[in-house]
Amino acid sequence: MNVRSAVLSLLSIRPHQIQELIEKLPYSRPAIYATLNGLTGEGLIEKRRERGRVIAELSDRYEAQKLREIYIKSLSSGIDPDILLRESTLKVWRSISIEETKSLKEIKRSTGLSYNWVRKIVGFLLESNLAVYKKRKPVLIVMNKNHEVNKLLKRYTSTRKEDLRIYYSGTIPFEIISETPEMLEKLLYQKIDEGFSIKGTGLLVRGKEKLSIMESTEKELTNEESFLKKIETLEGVEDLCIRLIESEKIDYDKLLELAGKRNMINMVGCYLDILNSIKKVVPASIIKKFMKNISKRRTIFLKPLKRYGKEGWEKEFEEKWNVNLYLDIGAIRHGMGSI
Amino acid sequence: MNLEEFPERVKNDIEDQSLTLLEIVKDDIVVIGGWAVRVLAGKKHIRYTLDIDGITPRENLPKIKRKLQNLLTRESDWGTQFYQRYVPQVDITNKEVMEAVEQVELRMEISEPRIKEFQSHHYFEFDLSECESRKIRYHNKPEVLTVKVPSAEKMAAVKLGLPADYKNNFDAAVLLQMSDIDRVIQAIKENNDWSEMVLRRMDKKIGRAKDPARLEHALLINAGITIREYVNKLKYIKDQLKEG
Repeated sequence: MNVRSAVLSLLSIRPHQIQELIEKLPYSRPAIYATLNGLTGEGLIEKRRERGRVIAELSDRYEAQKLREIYIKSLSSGIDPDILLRESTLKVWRSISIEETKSLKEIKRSTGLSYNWVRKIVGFLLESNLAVYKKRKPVLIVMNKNHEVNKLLKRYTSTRKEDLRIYYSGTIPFEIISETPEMLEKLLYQKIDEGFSIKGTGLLVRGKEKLSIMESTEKELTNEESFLKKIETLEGVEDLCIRLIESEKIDYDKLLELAGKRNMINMVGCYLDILNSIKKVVPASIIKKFMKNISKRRTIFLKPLKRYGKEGWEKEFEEKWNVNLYLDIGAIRHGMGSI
Repeated sequence: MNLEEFPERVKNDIEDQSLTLLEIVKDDIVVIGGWAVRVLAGKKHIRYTLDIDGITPRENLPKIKRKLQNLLTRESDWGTQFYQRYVPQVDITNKEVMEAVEQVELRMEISEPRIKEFQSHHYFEFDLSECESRKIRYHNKPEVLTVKVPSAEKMAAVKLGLPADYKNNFDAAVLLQMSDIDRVIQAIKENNDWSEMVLRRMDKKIGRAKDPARLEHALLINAGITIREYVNKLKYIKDQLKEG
């Protein structure tokens, strides 16, 4: 194990005085100092003074906190965290999947590493039980989905997909972030000093500027899945879905297919039709496609507004699309105003 | 790409260019809408829009059209929209920002001093003689732009009768914070039958502000507005309007 990993191992267990690290670890004083300085520069550790002694501890950043968990779990599983967290190991680790078996040649191709290097790393992963054989000759392996270290590494290495890019003709005081639990956990660390709320939990933290509204999703959502999720909310119908349409990033055939699976064709078709009655934003042929697939089952569109009753304009659309409408047409018009 | 993600200097340039357009007609119009709320509320109003909405007497419109003859126009639901493509006056090297910037329009919509309700005959008429002068600073120029805006009470009265979406609800809450409530009620009562619109939308505004699952609930709290205080003000206005 190198100095860096040794220092991180000890600091993962508890904060240490620098003098203590020098005494405990079999490395030179300058090497330990240089490592501590490097780790401080990366933001992974922080130094503080207590009763004249300098204490080093892991910082409260997400990466540092996740590293702590990985170090503890790896050490207690007999896995060298130094080898595990090397870029080449992570490359091979990323190329292995839970569902699909991979051969050494396939791993070599996807990582760009030499065959011998791949063989060595795969050997390490098999020995650590992070990967398991599906076949020995020729070697076919899969990831061990039950291994705790794999779960931690997945979180540690996950990156956010590029945000849905939509141009807004103005600025809005919030951003809605739909992410997997692993990604949200990471974001919590990043947003801790800003305003944020987590949908469904009641937690709201005030910030000085933009509010991040985070919602947890089982998986990364496509634009069409996002649309269907938002269309069932007030702000979705009155603003966010309109912006999605405006962005021209919706594949309407995919939307139709998904809406069909979720019994939402009447609702979505009706919504697009209403928008078009205000301003042509969706091709008429799309509305026709939805119309062709209309369901006989009557649905309620925007139940949360039911208690305020109807406004009087709904009948034509209700009959056409077999839905019970509780939309606020004025609010939708307002939302379309910026297009 | 969201405007929020533009580099600060690009955002400032867009705003400055919008204000330059406004400067051409600043003496001829009263600024309403998002910019008016922003000018009145300052930093409390973290929601704002780039589009400039203005009102003017009908007889002024030809003069304004002459002054803005270099801009393109389109007729809108409310009045005339003057617009032009945004041409950056700052260097942009990022390709993604360049592409996004090409979509930006600088827009100014000017109409008669009447906010009309779409589905009915109700309207709110601004008294153009009762305006306040407020200053807006450019980002990259030392000059200060002085514009005319309605009072916070008048703007609050309008917002309360508009649809109960999160934007109008948030604006109403910010404006009510700085308004004399009785003057808001008076402004509502003075205007045609705007009180009918306010009453029609009041329950929704209250319900949405109170509901922790709603966006405006979170936005209000984040802006430091006490939900209970806002709801009580709405209820007071409602009671006063019901009494006639």
